[in-house]
Amino acid sequence: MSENETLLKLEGITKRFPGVTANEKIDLELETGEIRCLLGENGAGKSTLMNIIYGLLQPDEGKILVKGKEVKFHSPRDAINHGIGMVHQHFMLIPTFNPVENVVIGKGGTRKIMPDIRGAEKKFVDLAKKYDMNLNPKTKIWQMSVGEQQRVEILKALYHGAEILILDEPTSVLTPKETEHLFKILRALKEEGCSIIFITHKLWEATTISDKITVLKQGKVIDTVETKSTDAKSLSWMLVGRKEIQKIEKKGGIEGERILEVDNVWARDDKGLDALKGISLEMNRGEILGLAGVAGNGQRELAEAISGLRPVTKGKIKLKGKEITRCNPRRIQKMGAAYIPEDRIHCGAGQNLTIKENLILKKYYREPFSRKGFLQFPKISNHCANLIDDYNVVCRGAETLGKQLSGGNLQKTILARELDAEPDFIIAEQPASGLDIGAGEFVQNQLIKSRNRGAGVLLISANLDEILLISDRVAVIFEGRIMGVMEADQVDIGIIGEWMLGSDGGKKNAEKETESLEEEKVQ
Amino acid sequence: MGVIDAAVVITILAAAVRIATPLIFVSLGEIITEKSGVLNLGVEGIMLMGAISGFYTAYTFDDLWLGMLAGVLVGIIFGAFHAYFCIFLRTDQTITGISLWILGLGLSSFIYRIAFSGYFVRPRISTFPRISFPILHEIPWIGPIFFNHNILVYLGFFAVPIVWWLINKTEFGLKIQAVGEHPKAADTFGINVQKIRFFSVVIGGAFAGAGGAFIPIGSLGSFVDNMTQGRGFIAIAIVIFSRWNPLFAVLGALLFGTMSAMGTRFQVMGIDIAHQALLALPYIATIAALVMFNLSKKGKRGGAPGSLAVPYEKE
Ligand SMILES: Nc1ncnc2c1ncn2[C@@H]1O[C@H](COP(=O)(O)OP(=O)(O)OP(=O)(O)O)[C@@H](O)[C@H]1O
Ligand SMILES: [Mg+2]
Repeated sequence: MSENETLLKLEGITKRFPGVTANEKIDLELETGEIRCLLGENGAGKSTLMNIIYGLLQPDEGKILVKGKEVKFHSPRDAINHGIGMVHQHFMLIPTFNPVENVVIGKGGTRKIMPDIRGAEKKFVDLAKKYDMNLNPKTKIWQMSVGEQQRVEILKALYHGAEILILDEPTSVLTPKETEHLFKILRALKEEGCSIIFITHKLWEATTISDKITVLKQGKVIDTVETKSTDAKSLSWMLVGRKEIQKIEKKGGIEGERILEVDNVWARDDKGLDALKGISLEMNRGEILGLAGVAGNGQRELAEAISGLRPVTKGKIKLKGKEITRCNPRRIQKMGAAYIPEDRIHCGAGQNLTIKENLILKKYYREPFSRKGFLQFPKISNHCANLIDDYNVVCRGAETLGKQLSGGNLQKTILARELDAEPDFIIAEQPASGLDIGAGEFVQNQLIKSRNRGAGVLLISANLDEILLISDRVAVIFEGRIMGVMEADQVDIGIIGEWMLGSDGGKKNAEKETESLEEEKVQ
Repeated sequence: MGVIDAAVVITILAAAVRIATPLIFVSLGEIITEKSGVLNLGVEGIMLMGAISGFYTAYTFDDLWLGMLAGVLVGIIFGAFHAYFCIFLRTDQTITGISLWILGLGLSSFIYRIAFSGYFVRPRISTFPRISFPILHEIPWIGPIFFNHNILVYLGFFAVPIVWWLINKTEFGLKIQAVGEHPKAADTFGINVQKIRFFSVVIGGAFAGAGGAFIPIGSLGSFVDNMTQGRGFIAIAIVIFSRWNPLFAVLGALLFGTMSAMGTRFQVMGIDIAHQALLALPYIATIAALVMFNLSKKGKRGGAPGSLAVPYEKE
């Protein structure tokens, strides 16, 4: 392994989709053992470029060279055979398979009638041990947390001999701890001469892990810089190219009425096990309640229970004083609730629906969009054009399909749909994950705006920073129970951290310190 | 009810095994097809085409095996037809399947009329002879019920573990499941989604053709218009009932077979129930079984392939 050897070289890569040029004359050189970070706004063309390197898309123009030899990839199989592996922005694993089965056919198969599952399992387990990843090779993917799924994806790439590992926004679904772990793995890989392309929207990650940073904008490379010789400020200047977005200030706490009461609620997860074990929460108008917790501790189930998507086995939920425990989602939504789900692909938006259709999904049957049973297309088009503008969705028009949108722009579409109706109560699950800096701040501003006009916002996030930034109060969920609630201005990170890990050692102190802890009904 | 003695029960159950055989063939094929993410509602039509081509070939060349082969070949052709439309042209799978059924229904009768016009007596072939397994057929109950049938019946039951093995243990089977579950992920694995789906549908067609050809060649000895009587659709119901598991599909097929044989038998014995009700018995039982099974299902994942009936489009 000689230093500074060019492993991968792109020359003039151009990719056009109908109406947009996603990549325009992109040049890029990646050295052996280098960690390269790609930065760029939503829709800048990062995922497209990676999909081209991985053989999923074919470029319209340009050349790809691996170790100095020109290659043409017709499918990912060719790319894998040239030592390229990829962890996708939206995970690409067969949910009903276990990791070993995924790995075995992960290279287009072994061309044997019966794959050597046992041998593969051994190799997989050894590999997992080597990188200190704790994975059960027999657990089905759909039963794994996103962090585990990501590790499976990484191992799958390594299993097939990846020398170039592409990670498309790997940290947007991870908790800080998991991100640390991931960085450790990446450094170990780098030590072994593996090259890594790493996409992120978080500048500190870019400056922490990478050797060089490339900034993309509207499909073009703006610049490539050495990480050593740059800092977050100049990066964000390059990225945004304009002044920092004005931050909306929180207006002094509006003493509002009760908007949400969750009283001793129980619910089951998809496996039929109790995911919520007696959750109690109360929220007023004009406040943002941040729900912190390690992913997979019942957050999604709680959000679904409140929005009417998941049956509640025990307990009561009240919205604006009316019981909604057994109401269907449309009833709840008509009462002024909005839901921004974490799973934007399956739950948040129709992949085969146009942006326009996605935007009016919740109100197509109402005046003025529908009159006497007929859709009013001019009105709809007008409305959608405005939303696309307001929320800055980068697309080639309202007829673009959901699946053609970049990850961040799909999220903006969902936000536009949910927030436009000025809801009184909003559940936002990881609303800013996968958004670029500008869009992320935009979302936070929108949530604060909603709060200021008197809406209640339940912000669910694994990202503690995000929660602390805009919440009025912070609650922590662990294994389906609320560990405690604190006023945001009195937050003790230490205690929050302990709560997130399930220890309530600090709870007693917190109780003494904070007076408004009636919400807390931990069993 | 003194009329029902052991001999009657054995006759009914033995008939049930025979009636179940074409259903086993067809539902095995449909399981493979659906596992890959394609729905083929046209198996009824493919069965009819398999029946007529099998019968015609067996009659003309006086060779039963050649007849079976013809049924399978026609099944492959029709399967390929369905696959081409659904996978490459991305037509609606339900509508394509129903068209295929109607096509098979009309075409099979049409061919029969052209090929056998001017016969006064319904043309017949001698069916496969029974083979009694040595020793095994002497086991009381089990022997006469399971081990006194023609070779095709044994083949059908033998195919069950084979198909199970194919789906769960071979690489091809893993790929079938992958493209049926999450085709986009399979694509990123470097698996040719459309190719795997095409082959799966074609294999399903071959099984449906065999199931159809079985009825004249392995059981009745002649061809009658619409002789499958909706068994293709029953096979689809069995697939759902079986949770896409070949081993359970056998149970479904045997259940239908038993009800069907009971209906016929009771009619012959002159038991005083409207014969329409007896004829409807197996169909009602199938619906009841489906309802019961689905009511008892636990959790969201009922075993249906995640992308069933969703065409895959590479961008
Ligand atoms: N299959 C497609 N058909 C049409 N347009 C597409 C398709 N895939 C991507 N695009 C468009 O190409 C542009 C680049 O998308 P890409 O997914 O590469 O962005 P990205 O940089 O990864 O953004 P994000 O940070 O939001 O994930 C976007 O404008 C997007 O709408
Ligand atoms: Mg992307």
